[in-house]
Amino acid sequence: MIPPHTRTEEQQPPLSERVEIFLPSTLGYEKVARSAAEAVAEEMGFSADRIDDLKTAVSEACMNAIEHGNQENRTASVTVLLTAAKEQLEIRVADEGLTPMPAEFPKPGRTQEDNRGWGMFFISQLVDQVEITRLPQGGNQVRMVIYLTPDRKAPAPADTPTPIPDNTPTPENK
Amino acid sequence: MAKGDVLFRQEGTLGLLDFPRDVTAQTRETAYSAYNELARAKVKTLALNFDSTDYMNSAGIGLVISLVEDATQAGRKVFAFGLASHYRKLFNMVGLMERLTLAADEQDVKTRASEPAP
Repeated sequence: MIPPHTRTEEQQPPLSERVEIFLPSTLGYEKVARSAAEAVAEEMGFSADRIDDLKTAVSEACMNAIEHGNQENRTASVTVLLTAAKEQLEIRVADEGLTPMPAEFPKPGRTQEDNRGWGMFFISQLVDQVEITRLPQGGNQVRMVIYLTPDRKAPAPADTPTPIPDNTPTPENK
Repeated sequence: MAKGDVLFRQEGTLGLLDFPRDVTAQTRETAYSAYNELARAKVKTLALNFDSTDYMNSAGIGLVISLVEDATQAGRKVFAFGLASHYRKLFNMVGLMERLTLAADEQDVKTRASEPAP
């Protein structure tokens, strides 16, 4: 396979190249998708920093699909579709929609058990485009796009991190 | 699929938490257990060692936030070392870098922990 970033114009494929992965809904398997995304992004010539961003975004999207969308039901699958085009990598993470994605995500941090809920926040900060949709056949899909060239990056979302409030901690305080 | 437990060490008033390769929701139980041992020993400084960590997800970062919150509320100085640049970036995004001090390594923590407070 000729790495896409080393191909001449004539060698560029007319269509994008796709990798599809099916994951069981068990936490930990998000790392399989993370490794696949890393391999594809390396082939495309993404920088190490961008690959780290991508790996976190893919992990978090898969975790959401496993934990929330599929309720960790091992018979339900998470589908990850990586589509490598000339200047961008698109990642679609779809679950079977046992639980619909909320229209609005709660603020991460102390409002949630154990300071959870940072996943969608990280995704929105680390990739160039993110879109959450309900699929016609049922299920939730998170579509993310990350550009090869950072200067193509879309305007950053206006989200700001939720400050960590000072209130009662979870662990014992001795 | 999580790899390993959080271990603790105590050297005088310094307590160290050695984080495993994966820091996730599955790390929670051993992290709190290790932290609570150090809290009971009344350590004054807490050092978070991420030398072995190469995967930390949002649940793992939430766990670190909880530990750091508790330590700072108890008046402990918190250091972290061994953190890869990507995770420094994520810690910054969630406001953790304002709650802890980054150190170069364990020796740096020991040196800085032994310095008198300004």
